[in-house]
Amino acid sequence: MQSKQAKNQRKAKRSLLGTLLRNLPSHIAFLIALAIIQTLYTVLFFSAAHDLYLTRQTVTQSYDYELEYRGMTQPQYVELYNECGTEPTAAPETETYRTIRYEKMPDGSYNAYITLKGASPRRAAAYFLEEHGLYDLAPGYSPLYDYRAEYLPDIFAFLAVATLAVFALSLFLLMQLYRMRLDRDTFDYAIYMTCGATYRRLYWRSCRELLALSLLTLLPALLLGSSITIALYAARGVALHYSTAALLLVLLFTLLTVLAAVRIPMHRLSKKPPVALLRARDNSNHATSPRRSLRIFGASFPRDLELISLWRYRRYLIGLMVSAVLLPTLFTTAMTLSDIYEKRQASPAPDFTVTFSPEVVDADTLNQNTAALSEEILSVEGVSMCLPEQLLCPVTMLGSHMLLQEDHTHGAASVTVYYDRPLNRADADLWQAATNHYSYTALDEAAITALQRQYTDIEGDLSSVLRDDKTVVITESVSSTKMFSFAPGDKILIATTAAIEGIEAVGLVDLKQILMQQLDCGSFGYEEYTVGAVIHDVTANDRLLVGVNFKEYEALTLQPPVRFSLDVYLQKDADFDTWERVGDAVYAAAYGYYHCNVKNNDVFFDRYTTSLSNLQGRLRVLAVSFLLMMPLILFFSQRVFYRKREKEWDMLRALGATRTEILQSNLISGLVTALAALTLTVPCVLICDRLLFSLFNRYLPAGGFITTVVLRYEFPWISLAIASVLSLICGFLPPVLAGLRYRARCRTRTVSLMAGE
Amino acid sequence: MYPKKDKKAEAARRAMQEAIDNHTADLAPVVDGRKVILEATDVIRQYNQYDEVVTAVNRASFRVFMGEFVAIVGASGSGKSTLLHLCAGLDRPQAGSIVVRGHKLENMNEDELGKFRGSFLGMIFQSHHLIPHLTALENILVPTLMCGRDEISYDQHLKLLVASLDLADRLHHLPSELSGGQQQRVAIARALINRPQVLFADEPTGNLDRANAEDVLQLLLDTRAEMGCALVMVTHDLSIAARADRVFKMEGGRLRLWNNRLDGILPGYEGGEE
Repeated sequence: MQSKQAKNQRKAKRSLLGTLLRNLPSHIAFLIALAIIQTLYTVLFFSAAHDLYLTRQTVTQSYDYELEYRGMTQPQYVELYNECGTEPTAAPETETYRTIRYEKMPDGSYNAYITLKGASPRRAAAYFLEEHGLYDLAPGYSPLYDYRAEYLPDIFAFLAVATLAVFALSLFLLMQLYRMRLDRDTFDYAIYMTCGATYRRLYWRSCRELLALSLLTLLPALLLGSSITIALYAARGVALHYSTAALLLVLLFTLLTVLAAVRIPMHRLSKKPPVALLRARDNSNHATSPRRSLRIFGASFPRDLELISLWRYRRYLIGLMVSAVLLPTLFTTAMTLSDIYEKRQASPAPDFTVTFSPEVVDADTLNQNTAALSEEILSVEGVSMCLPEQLLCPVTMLGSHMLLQEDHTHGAASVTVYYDRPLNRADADLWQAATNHYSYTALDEAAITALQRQYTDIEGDLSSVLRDDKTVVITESVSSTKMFSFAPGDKILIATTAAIEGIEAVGLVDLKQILMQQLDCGSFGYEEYTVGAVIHDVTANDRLLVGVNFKEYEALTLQPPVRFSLDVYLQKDADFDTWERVGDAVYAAAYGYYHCNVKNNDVFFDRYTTSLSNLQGRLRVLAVSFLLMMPLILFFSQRVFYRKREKEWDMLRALGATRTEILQSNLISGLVTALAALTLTVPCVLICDRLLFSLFNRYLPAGGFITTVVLRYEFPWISLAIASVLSLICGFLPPVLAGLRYRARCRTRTVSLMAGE
Repeated sequence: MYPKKDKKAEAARRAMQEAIDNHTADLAPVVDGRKVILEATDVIRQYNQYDEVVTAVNRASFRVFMGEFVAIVGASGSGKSTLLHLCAGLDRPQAGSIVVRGHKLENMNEDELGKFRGSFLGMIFQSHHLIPHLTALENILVPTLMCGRDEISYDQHLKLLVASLDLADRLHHLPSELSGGQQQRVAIARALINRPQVLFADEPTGNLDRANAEDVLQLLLDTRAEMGCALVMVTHDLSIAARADRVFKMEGGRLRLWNNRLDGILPGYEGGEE
């Protein structure tokens, strides 16, 4: 009669999948990892396909043209019509436009909508404008143009970056697990290699095994990933559009990840001599060889012996700590990124910008025109703000600075110079802080109204600046970080340059260095100004704002305060119809002014499509996946590690240790690992969080990659708490669970069996 | 009127009871003027493997006197290592009794048995079983952490052991950096550091060449003579068994006395007396 075992062995030889199913518990870690990876890929590709579909649908449903001329006068309309007609007639194959549609507006102006042809809308538009463009009217670009010329390349670039990031993450996870698995089965592989197995054979065998596992997890992962994606879009009221291409990409990248993840660990293993692998079956490959023995006479068991063991296994522990620190840091980073993105999305941006040509009228007329147009546009339903151009003049252009009292400069060390200058004042010793990290801004009624709409935490009377030339309105933040502290009634001293000589260093870019040079080489007179109002809100500007009235602005900057443009903001919940109606109204209002152009900033379209895509939700999904990876790696790693230490515990018990003492040694291990993980995780999380904030607040805007928005720094309490707790748990539990498991096994198995005799 | 309580005697009695309870008292019986350090009676050990029961040890009985060298020989799979592990308290029999120093091992729980092993027994495994991340010196000293027996001068004893085992220049190396013979010598030193009363050796020379095997055997015999401990050795090498005071043979789980040194050479052994 055949034994059950012999029957099973024969069955196993016939089927890889069958073997995997029978040994499923030993593959749990890989099943979970593959499920996470495939779910991430599903969310990534399904949502990318959906975004592409949604954007294309939104754009093509709403626009059939790329270029537009709005607010043409009749002569301009006639010129264009005579030049181009409604479609090209002479040599149409050389033309880059397909059709032009004309529309007469109620106010007598004309609009023209030009549909381009060709693969590159950018080139087509440039050619059209060069050949047929109106010289005295700036064209507008529709969202269809933006979609084809900018959005599509951007979205593919973003997808490429996101795919690379998810691929790298998946590779890291699978490679870590595979490396640990090889570590566990080192002896087996040593025997295979001794018997003639080559790298190729081992590699493909391993790949087949992992691919078979990935087949088991594919359907559940697809279902889970789809459900998550559906939920993400359902939160924005959008139904998911499925794509076969996305499904194929999930399969392709799963395959690539498996092939790549096995390659490096297996290659490294195959290069080692089999005899070294035979010796490494008991964690000795992790032990660091000492130069001298430690004195353990009089030492205590288990505390001292376990601490010695942890020290000797420090190479392994350091590797473990890297994962224990990296993954929670990535988690908090992803959560912070999601918050930053959400705040940036919520931050208002002008939908239209109306610009007056500066050459045509004088400064006073210009200011009057902008004020009048602003009033007119504000009265349109759906407009939330119409802000005049903020007139700014950085003080560095003027070679000036201001002196502050030390009370005003808490937290401003990065933008302030402390300098002991002899001042001809009784209170000279109070004025020891200087800064040139500010800009003057000209304020009038319209600007004050704009400030009142933008900011809510204002102390003092903004209008005081209009009544008194020596009164200022001042902010307290630099790049969304509060750095100064003022109150109405405070005094500041503004330097009026008397003479600067002996400057040696030129081309300085650091503002502090410039200021130091000024203070060293210049002699200044100072005028006292009083703070009339303080804007306590966090502002996005990269410098302080010191607001003065128009007259004082011209006196300080030697530039007349002239506004050339207005920014028009729609209400937050404006729909497409509102956007169109407001756009028409703005164009109509601007039509009444000489040489006034309206630019559609396409903010609405971007905001609309971005709000539907729920990128912040996806970032949170990514963050959660980091959280799931952490226990997976740490538990699996320590399970393999502590399983190999069971023989050591058997030996200690053979020499007189009790089960409780063995468990105590595991508790010590757990405490040390948990504390080490926590000690490293907290500062890493805080540093990365702060770096991310500075990146989005200072460095990217400074490089012109993104616009500045108000982004107040918020301490990541919740993320940090979750990351810390998880670090503690993942550091503490595995050794303790291993000890409890060993202790439970001790009840049924004796030392000799466990010693493997 | 009432007899005065002898406080000293009372304290001694309490200490004795505590020692009995802690299994530290020496209760070894004396037979024919010799102390019986180990006695196994009708010991049975069985294993369940799938659908069959394997009887590794079948009603084995024997005794070992203090200072005696007993060898157990037999073919591979005869159950001699299993018997050794039972006597060393590393395994529990299904039936029968094993008494060491007058204490029944079956009456001790796992932790008591562990402490007993560390204090009074020494074990040398065929596969060494050294702790991989501790140096040779640290491996030797591990038993001292378990039982904390301060009355022994470890320095002196350790130096003697290290010198006699020729380990002085390899003390600070990890086991993976030692040869098989050196690992075995470290394992022997570890077994002897606590001055055991019974030393169990499971094929201690099985992985050694002839010269090393002879050195190790001589060391064990010298140590036995010096410490006065009993040596129970499992071996398949009849030349080693021939030097034992008594030789038992294990066949199919059954143990029988095969040779007593006083009776002459081992049957089937052609090596002659030493």
